[in-house]
Amino acid sequence: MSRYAEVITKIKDQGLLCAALTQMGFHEVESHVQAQTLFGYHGDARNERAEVIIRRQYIGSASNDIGFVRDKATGVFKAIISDFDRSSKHYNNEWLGKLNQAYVEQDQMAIAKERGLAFIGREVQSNGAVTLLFALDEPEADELAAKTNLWSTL
Amino acid sequence: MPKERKLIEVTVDRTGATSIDLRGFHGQGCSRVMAWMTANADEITHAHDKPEAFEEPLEVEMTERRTEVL
Repeated sequence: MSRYAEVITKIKDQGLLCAALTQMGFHEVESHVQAQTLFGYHGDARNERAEVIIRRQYIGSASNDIGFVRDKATGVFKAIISDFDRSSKHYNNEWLGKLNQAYVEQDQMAIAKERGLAFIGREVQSNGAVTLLFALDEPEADELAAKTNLWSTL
Repeated sequence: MPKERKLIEVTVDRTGATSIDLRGFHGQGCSRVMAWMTANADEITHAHDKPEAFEEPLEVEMTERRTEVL
């Protein structure tokens, strides 16, 4: 072992957010360039708009749409969840934490793929944490050295 | 002699907080790879090098010694 870090990542990538929602079981996720109107459980248009939307029919019969709207200043997505759905214990802060976990997992997988790391495996710990293991194998290391001079400074 | 395999272990807890552990890396390679894995992170709450990070790979040391002899 040679280096260790702990980091916090906020949800900023729309594609990865959609992938994280899919990983959590939502296979009908809308992704829009321009924010779209959210609807309530009566089918009434709400004031809120969002770029990423899970429509209420995929959430529950008495639910409202769940949306994720990008903060223009920070680029960070914020969840729009009705009080009813938030208090239903399905879409509370714990659920948002798991969404963040899935997002980070997708983010790390994307980075690993982009950098040519070999994916070794995924393990869910007893406390719910997910461990991903990657390897920088010698063929990949040699290739990367040629491309990026990664090892030239060693 | 086989080279030590370079491994990256990423653990994400149920809130999304992440720990990244590099194994088998040496020298500046540690920083480069850690920079890759934290490229999208918003905040690094804790980081430290392990002793191996300051050691040069054995093969490099042997090559340098041979060069000195020649």
